[in-house]
Amino acid sequence: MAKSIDTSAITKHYQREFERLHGNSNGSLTAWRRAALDQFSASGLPSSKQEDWRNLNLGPISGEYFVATPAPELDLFNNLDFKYLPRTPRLVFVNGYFTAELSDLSQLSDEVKINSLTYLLKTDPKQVAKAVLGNTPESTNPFDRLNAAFFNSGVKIDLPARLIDPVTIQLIFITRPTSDNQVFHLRNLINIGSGSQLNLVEQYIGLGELNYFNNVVTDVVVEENGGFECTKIQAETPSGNQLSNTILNQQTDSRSKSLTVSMSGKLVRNNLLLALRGEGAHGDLNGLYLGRHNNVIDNHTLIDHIVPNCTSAELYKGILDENAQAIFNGKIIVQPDAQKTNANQINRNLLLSDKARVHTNPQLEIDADDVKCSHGSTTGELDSDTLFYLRSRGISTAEAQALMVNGFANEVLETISDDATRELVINMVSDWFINKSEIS
Amino acid sequence: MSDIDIIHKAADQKYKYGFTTDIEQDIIPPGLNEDVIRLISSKKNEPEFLLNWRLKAYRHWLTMAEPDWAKLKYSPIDYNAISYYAAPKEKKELKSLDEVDPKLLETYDKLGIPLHEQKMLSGVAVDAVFDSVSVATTFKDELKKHGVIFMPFSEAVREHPDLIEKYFGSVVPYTDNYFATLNSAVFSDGSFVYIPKGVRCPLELSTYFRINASQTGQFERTLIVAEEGSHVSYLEGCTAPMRDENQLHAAVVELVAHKDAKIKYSTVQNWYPGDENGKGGIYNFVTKRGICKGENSKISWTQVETGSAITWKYPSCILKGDNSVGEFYSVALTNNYQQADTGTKMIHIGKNTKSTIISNGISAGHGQNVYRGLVQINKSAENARNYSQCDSILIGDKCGAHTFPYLDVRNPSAQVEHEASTSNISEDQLFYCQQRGISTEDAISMIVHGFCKNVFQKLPMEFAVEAQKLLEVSLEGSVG
Repeated sequence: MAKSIDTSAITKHYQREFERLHGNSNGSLTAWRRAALDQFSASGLPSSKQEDWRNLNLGPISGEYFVATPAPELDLFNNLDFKYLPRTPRLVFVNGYFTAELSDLSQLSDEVKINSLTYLLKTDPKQVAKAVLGNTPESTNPFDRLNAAFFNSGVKIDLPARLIDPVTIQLIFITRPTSDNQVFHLRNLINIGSGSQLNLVEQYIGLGELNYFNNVVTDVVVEENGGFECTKIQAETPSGNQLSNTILNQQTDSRSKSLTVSMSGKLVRNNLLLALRGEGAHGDLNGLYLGRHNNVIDNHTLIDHIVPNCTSAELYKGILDENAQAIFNGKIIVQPDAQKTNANQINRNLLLSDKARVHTNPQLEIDADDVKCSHGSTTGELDSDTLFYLRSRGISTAEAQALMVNGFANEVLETISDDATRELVINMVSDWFINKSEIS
Repeated sequence: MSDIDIIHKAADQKYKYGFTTDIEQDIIPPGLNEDVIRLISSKKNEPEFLLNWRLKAYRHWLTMAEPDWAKLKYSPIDYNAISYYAAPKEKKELKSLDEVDPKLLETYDKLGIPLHEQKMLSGVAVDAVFDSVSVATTFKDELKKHGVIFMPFSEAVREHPDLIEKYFGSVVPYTDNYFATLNSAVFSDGSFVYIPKGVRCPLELSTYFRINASQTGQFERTLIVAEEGSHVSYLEGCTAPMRDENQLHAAVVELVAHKDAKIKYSTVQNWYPGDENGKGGIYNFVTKRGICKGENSKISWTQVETGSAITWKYPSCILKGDNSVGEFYSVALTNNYQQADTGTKMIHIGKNTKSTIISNGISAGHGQNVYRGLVQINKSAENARNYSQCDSILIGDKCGAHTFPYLDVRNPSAQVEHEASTSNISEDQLFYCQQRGISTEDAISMIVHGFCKNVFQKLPMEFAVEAQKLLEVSLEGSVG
């Protein structure tokens, strides 16, 4: 059992933060924020006794974190060393602050409306209010509420309807905290007009040694016949934490494909809701989580089949080494009306050390009869027969293991449609594996 | 084909075994307090340690809250409206069936369990529990020859207090869960089985439970201990007469398997499921758990759940001994407004432990069927192996099938596999049968039987037949 966390101190702390940041403002957005904070204060931080937070120790983010205000601190940009695609269009945010020096929007079509939320909050708060107030239904996740109360950065992307060419945008969020215990509340609002396609690469990069915590909420609406492909790469520092809450709403005949690659971080928790609201919609949810040191990676996915004739496929794989701990909780709900649903889910885990552990909890909740649903879950170590096969052909143990681990991971990574993105992610994953000895 | 018609037909199928036997009963008035517990204990002439255990359990129970995590909907149970003890007035010690109240025997006959016939023909020893007190025990002599102890729990308490004190509550402690704790406080009777070292029990042991008196919950307690190298197969089957009030049944079953011992526990559960509008029916909250204490031991649970309005049951195995094996085979059928939340827990502690879970759920009408299971591989469980398969069939568009497996793995050498699927009976399968001249009903029957075959195969012969009959009773109309 995890230690119980004194939540009253935390809620008081965030109330003080709220007064510091929003105490003097009013308007519908502030009222909405205040309501969200009240909800957070009422629920407090979740405990590991709650079903949704089972086995998860929220210790690393339960301290007093201070809401960081996005501001340009130019010296941060020197000596930035990280892997990203040198391609456009590209938006780079450092500590939530949009940095034009690193970004490049020259290739972006004029029809795509894209704005930093920090900018919008200053210049046109009504537009932000409109976007977030329309965000239904409201999540009961305490961290979503906390984000609602404090978000001050992120991006708003609006794709008009019927764009002929797919739009590719790369978002890079670099976190290099300037003092200990900073929290960054990011909110991304994405709307894809009917018939248009957005390919998004979302990269989170942590730098430095300090403690921080990213609380990200992403709200996506894919209109009729629209398409959305998202590759999210989470590479926080060993002392960095990330909680993400993604809601993917799909209308009639829309398609989505999302991949979440979690590479490191002290505590990473992803909540992903795929809501299939229009008939004929299809969603692919893929994930790869790589854990090492004392990493804790928790993926909670929920696929909600609300209407008939939708399909979904889910593939989540995990590789856990050293003391890492992973939680996978994948739920598929088929509502009473959602006949002709086809939903499949697979979760596979590879344990590389005797201290690594995994808790998986695939769930099916089915209230319609004309459906085909299945889930499968496996956990094990590298297959000794395969290893022997490779060794007998003169391949060293280390090399053979690397081959097998890469092969295991590539099943997920090969789902990325874009060649350059796929190559970037595959390289990052190989690096992760090669770095094994150096880091430990 | 019209599913609806079939469902309606199935729903119209009345509960065949609904009747009550008019026997004068010795009943404690409804209510629960320490005095009631003392009274139960004194009525059964229990030793001091058992009364203290009951009181400890009751005091602990008062501090507990009724669990609400199961996916079940039912009106709250008033624990003070239940009578916690009902025994037929007949209190004489009985040696042969002739001494048993003929009305009781008649009841069994109606149920198709002629005790004496079974004794002669099938070679099954029956410890029949009528409500709460065991009234007839057969084949005692045959068992005695092998040193097997098979007797009502209350008798075992008097005759073998040392064994009871050693094993009672060792698998399911009185603090275990709300319903087990309630059972620990008020349990009425049950069965005790002890198989000595190296003995292969010559008979399939069987107990028939039956709820008879209105408004009496039944709180059975079963304890089976298999010593080193022994072998036992235990059968349990239930039918209950028609009642409008919901009746509570909270049993506890404990199994202890020592080194090289094998216990096979089979259940056919057919309590009254309530009528087609979901009125009445038994609330069945059962705690069943076995521990594989020694090396190479094996515990196998097989259950066919077709009855009860509410089923809350998770037969579990604690695989402590190295190389021990746990198995769980289940068919759960919910029709009309029945709800079942059932599954298993496999706790792997020893090295090379193996577990297999096969769970088949069938939902029809407004039935809700949940598989909920845990597979836990502890750090010490080197080379543990688990395979789980949970499949569900949905018949009709008002029912639901849900799967909630929890897999916790803390040892990399473990191999854990889980798969589940849910679907209806496909048009293709039906069409294939129909074009060969098989009627829709027969086709559905065949498909459902085929679906359950992997579990029925695990049942002892005598039970497999009964299980199929029960499935037919519960689904007749749609399942020929």
